Amino acid sequence: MTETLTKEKIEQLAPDQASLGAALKLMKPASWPMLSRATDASLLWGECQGSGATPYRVIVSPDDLGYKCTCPSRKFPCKHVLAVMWMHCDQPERFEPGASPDWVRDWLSRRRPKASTAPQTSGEGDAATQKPGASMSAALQEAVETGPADPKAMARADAQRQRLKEEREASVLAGLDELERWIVDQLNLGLAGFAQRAAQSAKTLATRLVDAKAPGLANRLEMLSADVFRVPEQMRGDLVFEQLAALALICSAYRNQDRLPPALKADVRRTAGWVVKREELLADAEALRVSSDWIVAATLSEVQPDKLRRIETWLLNAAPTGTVPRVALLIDFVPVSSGPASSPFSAGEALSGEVVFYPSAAPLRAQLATRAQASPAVAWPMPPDNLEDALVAYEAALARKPWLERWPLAACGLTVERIGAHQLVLAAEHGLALPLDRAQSQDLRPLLGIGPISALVAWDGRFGRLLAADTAIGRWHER
Amino acid sequence: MRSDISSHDLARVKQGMFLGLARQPLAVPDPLQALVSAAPREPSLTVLALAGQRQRFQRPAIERRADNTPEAARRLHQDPRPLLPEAARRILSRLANGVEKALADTVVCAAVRRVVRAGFRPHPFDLPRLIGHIRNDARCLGLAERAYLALAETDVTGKPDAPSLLHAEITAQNWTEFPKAHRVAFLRARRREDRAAALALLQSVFKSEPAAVRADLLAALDVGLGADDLPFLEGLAAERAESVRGIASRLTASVPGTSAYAVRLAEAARCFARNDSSVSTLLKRAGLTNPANVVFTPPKRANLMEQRAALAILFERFSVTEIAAAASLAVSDVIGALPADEETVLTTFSNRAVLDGDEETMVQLVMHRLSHSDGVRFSVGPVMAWLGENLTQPLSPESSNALLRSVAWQATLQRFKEATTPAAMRDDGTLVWTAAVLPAELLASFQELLAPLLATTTRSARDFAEFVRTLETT
Repeated sequence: MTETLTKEKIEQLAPDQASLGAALKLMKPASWPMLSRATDASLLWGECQGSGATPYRVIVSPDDLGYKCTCPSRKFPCKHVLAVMWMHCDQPERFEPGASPDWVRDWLSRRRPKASTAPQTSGEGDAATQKPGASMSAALQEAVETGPADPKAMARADAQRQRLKEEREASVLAGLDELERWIVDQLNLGLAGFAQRAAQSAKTLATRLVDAKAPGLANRLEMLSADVFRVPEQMRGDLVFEQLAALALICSAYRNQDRLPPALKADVRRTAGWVVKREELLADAEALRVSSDWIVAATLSEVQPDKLRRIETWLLNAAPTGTVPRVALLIDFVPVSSGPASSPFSAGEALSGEVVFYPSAAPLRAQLATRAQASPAVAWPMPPDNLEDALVAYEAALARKPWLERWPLAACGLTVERIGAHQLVLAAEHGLALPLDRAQSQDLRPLLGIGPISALVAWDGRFGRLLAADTAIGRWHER
Repeated sequence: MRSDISSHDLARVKQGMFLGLARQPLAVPDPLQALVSAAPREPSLTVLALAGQRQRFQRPAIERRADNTPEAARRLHQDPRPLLPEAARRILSRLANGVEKALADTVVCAAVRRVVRAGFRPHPFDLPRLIGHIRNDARCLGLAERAYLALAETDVTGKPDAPSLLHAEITAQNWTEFPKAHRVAFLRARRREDRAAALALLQSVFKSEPAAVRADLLAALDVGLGADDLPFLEGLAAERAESVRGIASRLTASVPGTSAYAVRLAEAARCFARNDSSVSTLLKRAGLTNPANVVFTPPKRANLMEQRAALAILFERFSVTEIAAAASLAVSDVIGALPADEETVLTTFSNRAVLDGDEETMVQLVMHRLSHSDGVRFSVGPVMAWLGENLTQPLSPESSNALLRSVAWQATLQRFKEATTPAAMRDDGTLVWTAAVLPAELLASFQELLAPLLATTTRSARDFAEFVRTLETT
């Protein structure tokens, strides 16, 4: 094995010196919740926890130096692949032998045959294809040189960070002033005509909010101008009314954040655009942590107005029968310009691991902290047979976090029905029914006439988006 | 807060904000007066925030009937066929998602026909993605698929469920309730089983059908056309619709047993003759004639276009068997005499073989093309697609081996191996359709044959092969 995968070859493969440096930084165990190899070491794979909610999946075939990584990097190989190769040379004991999971087998079945894919690995290879100057020793040297920083420099950096934070706080508050003035203008003009002027008007203000370092609000505003046209015409006025009300509430909450409970304060700051880094979240001892078996209920992908692809992975945990299962939402953002991207998980997949929730009055968004080897199939949880209770839970969450966008409802004993010619609803036996997103009508047709089902829905107060359902003929997943 | 603002107050606030506060000044509801006075900001913002939040607690009002399940939805799940097993289902989804767009409809149809032949039905949850590919192929549409189409149709038109949904299968009693494509396919199948009964069935409904349906149903009589169809066809000379008259007259001219037919058959048969001349011997020595020494001599015309037109008229609807009998030759001799690039006669024979359900002749015709074509410029994909579309059973092992060894197939394989551009690497259908027609026992060796090729070239073929093998083992 190591006859083929040598440090020299890794250096030849590296696209540049920076990639090797980045790979070296990635070699700490915390970055790799999972590292495995085939029993004959013909294949290495692992999951690297990047900055996103979901880990990147890396596969390396040491024999022919074939590789695959799910990260959006445009460097080939990326730092994750280089890190796996490097670790295999230096610390082969970190790779647990095991059976390859589905995603590895899938890659194997689809990859080009060895003879035609092996990159140029000969020491005497074409000089033009050699990467000049990429050296592992240089990367190690660089790492040593950037070792412990001097305390004065650290203090200066802290002061600088504090000053930038204060400047940003002032900037966000100025942005809120502009947002409030704009809302008052809309009220004076009348919300009845909002849909017609929404796109231009909201875009201008959104640009200013980005300048004011409140990108969360900017995005929310731009989404509003798009969402207006996603609902039936007769509902547009109410949607605008509620969304502008939520923005007004956010402005008020942000100004008074010191009077809010810590969880809600964290909510309002994140809503405005302050980022909690993954490392900060994982280091937060107060953060809600749930270790469990999880089912990937749905994977959704949507391009936001800010040209980022938002990739959502909805996880549902295997709660005991009759209890409400916990739902966690992993969100990744990938630049649209980096090409097509999708969740590294596939809907229906089961996994086992610890999920850490962002501090919130209504915890939903989370990070996957650790992940064990692929679990066997996880049984679908049987939530209470009561849609009414689920709706009450939504209302409670809405009361705790007034600008709540969506909230997962889980209940069993439901049916999908059609009301009128086009509207599908999720109905409970006793009469309560929730309208489902019309964009899903085509995919949901096969659920008509099946019943009763156990369903997980993302509910926004007007429409539900069915994420997954357990039915008599198998599981249905949104993907 | 929910109890603080009444519905009436909420409606008044909304009305003012919808019309515009510049036009209708804000009337702050009494329960909010104190809050508004205490807030250090624009009163309309406070009222908006609280009233908007109040509205978010209103639940949607849905009026439900006692039973909201459409009949089509019930039928969708009453189809008695078992669901496609999960392992095969996953591969079918992968195939449908990964196959080249240009090939998707036909390839997915072929896969679904395999599902149907194996006694299963596609999983209903997969129908939203599959239905677009299979909706026009009656062979893929069982009760569940028709029910799904009816559900989709109702979504678009708002019309109630189609009556054909009440029937698990099409029969002579209910066939008029089915869509046109199903009826035509049913009538053709009946003609193969019992020509007279099919004619009687058609006659019983003919007058009550609209012209477009009459034309298509009438065209289905081309299967097993015979002298006993003549009275009906001749009776259509007075038909009002020109399209129907045209089809009737074409069919009349093709009825075997008439003098015109006999003259045409004799003339067509004369194009094939044994040739023992010295020239032929020389050609034979040079390997340029078939072993039986039968040559094809088409009628002379001024140019290629005219010659093709003349051949199309001369050979219209003739089967290779009829020509062979008339020329006192074996079927294989007639096929072997045709140049591989002789499109017109080969196409005529092929079409007739499909109408007659004569799969042996279909295979012979394809093998002739593949074995005698100039592999460099011959496009195997469309030929394989045609074969895959029309075969109801996989090829025999002997035919399969002959196919894989044929000049044209091997040349195509070589082209894929040497491909350097994305367009050249793309499977034109040759590989995936080969996977579709091979018997399951040869698919493993076929997959090995694909191993040296790029994964992008062979993805669909490998998926199809794996799908069939999985299906066979369940």
